[in-house]
Amino acid sequence: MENNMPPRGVVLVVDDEAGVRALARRILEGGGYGVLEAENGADALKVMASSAQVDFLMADLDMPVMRGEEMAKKIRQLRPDLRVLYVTAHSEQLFKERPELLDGEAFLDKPFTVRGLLEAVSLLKVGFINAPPPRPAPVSPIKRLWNSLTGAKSR
Amino acid sequence: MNIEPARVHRLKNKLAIILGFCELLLGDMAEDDPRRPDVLQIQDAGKHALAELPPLPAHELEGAIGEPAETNHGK
Repeated sequence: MENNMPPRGVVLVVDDEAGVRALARRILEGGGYGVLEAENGADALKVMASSAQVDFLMADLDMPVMRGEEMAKKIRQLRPDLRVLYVTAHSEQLFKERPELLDGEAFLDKPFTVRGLLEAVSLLKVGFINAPPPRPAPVSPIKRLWNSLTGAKSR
Repeated sequence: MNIEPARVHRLKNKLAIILGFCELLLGDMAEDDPRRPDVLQIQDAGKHALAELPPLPAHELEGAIGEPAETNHGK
């Protein structure tokens, strides 16, 4: 993390494509999340066994060694509370196998946008998309004049 | 266009990386950054390439993913 703010949560990004992992890391860290990486399901299981603090699993569905869904199933047996974001270029494949997602699961089409990924994780976390920080209320012209005369700050 | 399903999948992965990093770069650049048109060209080409890829019915994908790919340098 580049700043000292506590992360919004830790995401374990599992994808066999290093560039996709790097992209997800850049986006998620920019959004205030901590990121761990694994390049396949077996590695992800090792990370989960060694690291207690994982709040979200971002799982590519189409991976060699172990498919994303199988991996998520195994991990959720250990951590039923873990929230899972399936990422796939073929969402129809996911819904063919599982017409309905479970609680705490969501999917995101690949290629994803910066906003799309952050919104998907935010939805998993709190059930709604994070609103941007509120804009400061406008300062009235009289108040602005008073501030300039007295040297007071805007509010 | 006739491309084997696993290759379409790998191309989509690569395009996801190209388009994603383009978006990050554009987000970091000022509106008047002289490099901005170059990145927009890359992004535009990536979007067109993505649109050229055929959709994949699920049954065509089964069995195609999971085999190590010679062209996938991300592993």
